[in-house]
Amino acid sequence: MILWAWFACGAPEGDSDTLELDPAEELEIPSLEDVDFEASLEEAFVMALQADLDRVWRGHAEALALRQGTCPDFYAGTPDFELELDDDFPGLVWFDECESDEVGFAGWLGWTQQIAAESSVENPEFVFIEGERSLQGDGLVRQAGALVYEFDGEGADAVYVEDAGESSYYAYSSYVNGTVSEAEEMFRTEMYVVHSGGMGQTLEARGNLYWMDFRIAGRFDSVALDVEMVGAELAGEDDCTLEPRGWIGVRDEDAYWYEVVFEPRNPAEDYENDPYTECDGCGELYIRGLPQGTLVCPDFSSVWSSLTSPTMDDYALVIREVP
Amino acid sequence: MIAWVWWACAGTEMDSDPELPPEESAIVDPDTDVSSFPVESGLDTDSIEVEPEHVVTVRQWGEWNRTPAGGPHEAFTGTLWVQEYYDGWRPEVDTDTDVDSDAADTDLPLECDLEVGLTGVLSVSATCDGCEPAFEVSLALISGEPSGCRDPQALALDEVHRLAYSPEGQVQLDYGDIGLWLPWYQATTDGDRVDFEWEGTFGVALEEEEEP
Repeated sequence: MILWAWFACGAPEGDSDTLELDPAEELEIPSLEDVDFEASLEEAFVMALQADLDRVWRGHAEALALRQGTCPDFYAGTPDFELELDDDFPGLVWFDECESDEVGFAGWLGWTQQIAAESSVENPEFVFIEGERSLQGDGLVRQAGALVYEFDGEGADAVYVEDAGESSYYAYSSYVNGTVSEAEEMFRTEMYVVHSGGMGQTLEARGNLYWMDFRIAGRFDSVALDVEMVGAELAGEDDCTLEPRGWIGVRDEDAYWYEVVFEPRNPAEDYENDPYTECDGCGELYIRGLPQGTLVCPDFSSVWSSLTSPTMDDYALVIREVP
Repeated sequence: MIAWVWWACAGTEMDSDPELPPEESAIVDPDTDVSSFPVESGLDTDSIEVEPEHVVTVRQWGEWNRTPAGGPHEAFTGTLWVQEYYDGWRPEVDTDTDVDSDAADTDLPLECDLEVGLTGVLSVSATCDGCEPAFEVSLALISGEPSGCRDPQALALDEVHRLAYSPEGQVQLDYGDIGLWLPWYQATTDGDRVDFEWEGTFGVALEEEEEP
């Protein structure tokens, strides 16, 4: 802006002296003495994976269960052509600013859902289930003056399940871009998560997340990552099950990013930081993009147990009152 | 931007304090969106409830005629009718159900007026707790144009759905065939016959040419 204004006004006549500024003050790296990077990254990784639409959807469904009478009103498709919603939106929408019995709804949220199951002709016990959901809008719910839920953004997910009785397989993918407020936690995220389990586990996550109030280790307010991992059952010769491919970073409140770079996510592409390529469960610590010569060795084994397939019933947010 | 640049260029020649910008100035924009940051987005307790400008009433009703007569029933044939109309204003239509005569004052066709054939065969795998045996029900469009219908939760046509009569006076639907049975219609039985119906009202946005 200032530069633009300077050009617009023209340089002052007869004043060609170069403006001399003091050199920028060198930023000091915050003390890292008490930082347990291993534990912080383990916690950040699990929390990032939980920022999926399943969580956002369940929060919305629970908040919607507080509905009283016509607070809020439901709409078939878009309630207002001015909203950022397709004119032919095929789902249901609540849109209101109302309060009833100390429960208030304000804004709007629209959702679509689809789920279908099929059985194998040869073996009826073998069931395939496919589900899809989407949620978008800007709506909040309060109860007794306290915020219960808010989502401002958009998200979608899909699940595929094969259930063969004793064995099962699932694959889940989710994308959320928005601000989520729950009773206990508020965060802003853009996160893409894919994981599968049952007959071998895999996961992929890419995005960032910022907590409004929560802090990991009392100092980190954000996580960013771009990783993929494979469990031992599906690991090939070139796969390392001790660590992910990619990197995970956490940011402290002073806006310093601390990134741990593991094996390269995609060796065929340029990589911003040189990856630490040993398969030893360790990555190299970078601060503000500069390598520190320090290895960080988190134990991500707990990540697998934190991943589950969504509940199929949650793909049926049906608004249908039958006496 | 222009106002800011003008102020930046002229500022050095000002002899007195700059005047406050006028209310319509882009610098102080009264129409700027309020932040949606959650902490700031409190609910206005003095707010007035926003009512839908238009509503669509969705009516779905029909019958099953189960066979063999007297039971145990193994199959049925039947019909599902679907009608939708706006703002409680219902054109005259040929139904055998009660119609609000004050609202029925025209013979304009409904945008959504479907007749759907139902064919049910006993399901070999689906079980609904507390229900009579479930049927695999095929829905086949007989007449009408589904694209004029707005019910986002309508059963897909030309597909098979699992339905079962519950003695609680409901027809229940196995949603997505995942074993999640949801009340779908209010229902009564009379011997081999099941009559069912459901009516719901949703807000709806209408283009000007659509407004009744």
